[in-house]
Amino acid sequence: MTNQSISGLGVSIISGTTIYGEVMNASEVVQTLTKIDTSTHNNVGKVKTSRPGFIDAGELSVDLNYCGGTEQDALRTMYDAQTVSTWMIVAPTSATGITRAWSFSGYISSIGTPKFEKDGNVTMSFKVAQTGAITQLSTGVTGMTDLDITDEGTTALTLSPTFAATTYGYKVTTDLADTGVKVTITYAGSGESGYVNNSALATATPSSAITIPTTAGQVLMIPVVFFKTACVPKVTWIEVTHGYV
Amino acid sequence: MPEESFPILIGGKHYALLFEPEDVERIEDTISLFEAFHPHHRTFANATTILWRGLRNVDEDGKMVHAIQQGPPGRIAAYELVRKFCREGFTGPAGMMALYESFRRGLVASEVFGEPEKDPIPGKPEEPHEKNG
Repeated sequence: MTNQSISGLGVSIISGTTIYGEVMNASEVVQTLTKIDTSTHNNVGKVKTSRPGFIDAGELSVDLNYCGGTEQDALRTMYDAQTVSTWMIVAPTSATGITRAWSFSGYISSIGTPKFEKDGNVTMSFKVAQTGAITQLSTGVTGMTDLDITDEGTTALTLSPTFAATTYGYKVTTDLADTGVKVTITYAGSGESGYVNNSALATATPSSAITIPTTAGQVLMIPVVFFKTACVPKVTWIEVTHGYV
Repeated sequence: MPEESFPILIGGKHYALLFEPEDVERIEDTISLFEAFHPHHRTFANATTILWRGLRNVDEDGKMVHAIQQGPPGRIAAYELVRKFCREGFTGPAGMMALYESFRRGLVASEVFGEPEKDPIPGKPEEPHEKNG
């Protein structure tokens, strides 16, 4: 017998339409309601009373593995520019999980330089201060109906496993001579937009070639995300390995 | 598709069969092409090998390139295409026979095999030539 607990593995952090990979931890955003004391000398039973006041905004803390990604470096630019944008915490996308996301506007309130530990990975942390109400979303998007991936030309690469609408993680091993990959997503959900590697992509159109690492065995993670207003995005990751080792 | 290839439709997608010398070499690492056409050797495994090495599409520059990656993972995709072809509108083993006929014509187009229609038929009398007016 088991219970209904859901694994936290696979949570996504999104700002605007940019997804951040390599997330290790995403905290909760705790809001606190200010209590305005209404107690008086004539309280019956001498129990303090209060009424609700303002909401103290919360903060999202994110830890990730720093690997020099464009979107990771853009976090510091956003901090410097004090950019306020829409942030979203998306519950793990899975066939057996829940369809939930929490959306709020916020700005990066603190960010560290990457941390280098002799016995660890290079990591980076930042915090997002909430500036607006949190909206809980529970309507999912339709997402992909097909996924194809080729090398930098038109030679098909093999997806593992083969595409299925409820599979959200794929592996691809390129040939040794390949220098890039092109991703084609097919979708038809009304009002939905697809993003590959954080760039918008029309349905059934190959992306431009995404450069892959040059050494055999090196890995590139490519996110595929589907958005629709007021809906929970659907996130798929493609793990591309250069060459076969 | 260029003339020196043979067109083939699989899963609603247009491809071509074209066998370069290195494709033939790779096929023959597994099975001789002459053996492969014997009915006993018309297996899914052999058909996968031949399709994998010979299937082409055209890239943005109009150049014919392998339709399936040539590294080990490509074999799985080739096998899926063989299965797809054999199920598309064919009854029983007819799909495999049609696929091998496509291979034969692809090999002829690639000038690996000869073209029987062009060979003189031994013993057949020569057609009378038309006389000029």
